[in-house]
Amino acid sequence: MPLALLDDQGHEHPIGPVLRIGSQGANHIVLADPLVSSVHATLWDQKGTFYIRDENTPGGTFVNGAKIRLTTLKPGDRVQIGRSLFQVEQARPSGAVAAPARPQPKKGVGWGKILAAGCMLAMGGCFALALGGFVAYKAQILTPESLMNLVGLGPGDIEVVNFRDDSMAVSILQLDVPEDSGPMGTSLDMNPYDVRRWRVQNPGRYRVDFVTADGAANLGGCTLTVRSGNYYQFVTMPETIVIRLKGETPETGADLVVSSSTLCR
Amino acid sequence: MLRHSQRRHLLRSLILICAAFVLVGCAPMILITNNADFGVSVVVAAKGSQQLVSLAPGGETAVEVAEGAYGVYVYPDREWIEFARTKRQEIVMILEYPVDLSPVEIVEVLAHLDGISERIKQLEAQAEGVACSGNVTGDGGGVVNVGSDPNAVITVSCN
Repeated sequence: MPLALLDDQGHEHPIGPVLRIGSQGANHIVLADPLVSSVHATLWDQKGTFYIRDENTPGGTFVNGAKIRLTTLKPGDRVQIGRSLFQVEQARPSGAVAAPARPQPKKGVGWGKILAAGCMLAMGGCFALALGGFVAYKAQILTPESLMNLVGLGPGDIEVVNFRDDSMAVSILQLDVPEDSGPMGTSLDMNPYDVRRWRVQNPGRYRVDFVTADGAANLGGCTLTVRSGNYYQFVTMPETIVIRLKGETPETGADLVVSSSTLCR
Repeated sequence: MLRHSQRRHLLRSLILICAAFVLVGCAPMILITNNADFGVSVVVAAKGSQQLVSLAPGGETAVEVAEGAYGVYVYPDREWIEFARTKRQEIVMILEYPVDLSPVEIVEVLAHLDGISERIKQLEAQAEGVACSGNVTGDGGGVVNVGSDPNAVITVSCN
């Protein structure tokens, strides 16, 4: 009998060939929780036996209160990841998900009461929004940077990982430079296995080129459009250069390689 | 009376001008020198971002960071290099024929890529005792000197 994870909202997540839980958008269950690692736990069904594995996370994964590295799951088990709690249950057959109860219409409710209730609800909503905004600001969840991202004017990021055995240089240059400002860009000299990040203050189109340290050979390049809040990761390998936009899952494997990725257009 | 699109354009322009004052400008640099007689990996953590540079004995490099506080964590470089080579091999194996990747394999690649930053965070968390911190502003960068004592124990200072 297939198993599923039931979250505290009542949503069912079937444990199929693979079910990943983490804070990054590429996971099947995404938990926006500082205690949760980008890829936190993996669950899978292996011929009717259901496993859960913690991905060496600092926060840990707990089954029935015990910290685990790898264990099996059975109906009734409780899985805790960060602040989220899941119940292991037998999966419902598809289509058998219980429909939410429809409220029965009540008779004899006057327009005045409906209006009053609407006003109360609106005031309550405004108050909750203001309180939530204040708490988020104090807890530094809502930062000036995230506000800038909301209006599309915040910075983006380009991370370059040199997984070659040789040094290399990376040049990042803004294209379509406004007439009243100079071009934004940088040049990074990278030793083997270095990881460097450059903050793109002006979102827009950028040209990223990878060359050997002596400048003799071009390793590849990409013209990409950096939007506010985007985080691009390049990983140079001996034979290829990998690209990804963090938080996005590419549709095809070709999108993971600079020479064929739709991100490089 | 301004139309909606004009008002929106004006608002965006005002925010852009304000943002330019805040955001544009030269980001401070941290100059890192390795005076130890062995290679080191240095994690530079500043404002939610981690960068990692490997330096041969006598090597030096400059790392651009955001203004504010930064932390530096130092290791013998073999630990990071072993991880990097293993991770590279894992990614290369899956990416041999990228066009043929299944959705599960794509998620595997993404997990490996996430693993790089996760590992740097772990290194940062482990480096108790071989770390220092400092503060940089737009007017002045930082200087980090890595060395070793006679017992080949790493020392580091941030100025």
